[in-house]
Amino acid sequence: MSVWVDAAAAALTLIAVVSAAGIIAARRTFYSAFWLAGVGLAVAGFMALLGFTYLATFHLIVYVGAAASFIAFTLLMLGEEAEAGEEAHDPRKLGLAVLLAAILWFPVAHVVLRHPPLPGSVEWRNVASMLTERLWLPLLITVVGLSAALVEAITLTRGVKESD
Amino acid sequence: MIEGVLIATTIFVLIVAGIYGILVSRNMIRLLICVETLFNAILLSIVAVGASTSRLTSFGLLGLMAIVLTAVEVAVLTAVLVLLYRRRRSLRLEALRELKG
Repeated sequence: MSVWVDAAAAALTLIAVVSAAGIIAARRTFYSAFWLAGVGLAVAGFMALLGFTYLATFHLIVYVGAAASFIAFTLLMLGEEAEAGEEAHDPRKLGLAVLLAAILWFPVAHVVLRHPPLPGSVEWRNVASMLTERLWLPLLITVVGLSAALVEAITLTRGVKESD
Repeated sequence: MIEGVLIATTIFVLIVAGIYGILVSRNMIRLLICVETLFNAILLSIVAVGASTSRLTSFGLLGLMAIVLTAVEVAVLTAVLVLLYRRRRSLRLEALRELKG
């Protein structure tokens, strides 16, 4: 069992690394959106391996299925002219990125490598009760904020349409 | 143990790719894609730390909120980019400088 888990983790790591490289190296922005979906897929796989199966499904449906597709459709809608803008690849920027990443990554690696993650199972009943009993006010604020943001996005788009 | 090393490696690679992409991108949509790559690294970090510290409920909740908020952020940002493209006919970062008052 453990061999299969390690093999699955290795495959997911490979998918994530190749997809991340594809995002940077892709000549067309549309292909970068495609590689972003690959990254989302790998992350969802890791979440499932660690026991967050519902979260993995949610991530696949909401993020990969909606957000990444949304970006791709926006590019298709705007056309090739919207993809203009060549990247300024520079080894010094890569070095800076590695340095910044190491600073950000170190605290997480310290926890993850010292205490290897153990697959478990999330009791979503506990999550639901925590949300509705202890965290009802942050949940309410989040829902109101999200609704306001979506209404604003629709209004922004409709406002330009009417003025055209 | 191997799984922990692989997860840590994946997080590092995604952070490097996200930051490097942000530094070199000249197209706003590609910049958004690189920011989303960073988000995926952060989400994986949340989940990995939750599994390492056996606080699956709390970190599962945090992950759920992060996914929802990011999806909405992508929706709003793409709406703004579509409007920007309609006005400027360009999504190059230089076009943003012209927006200064």
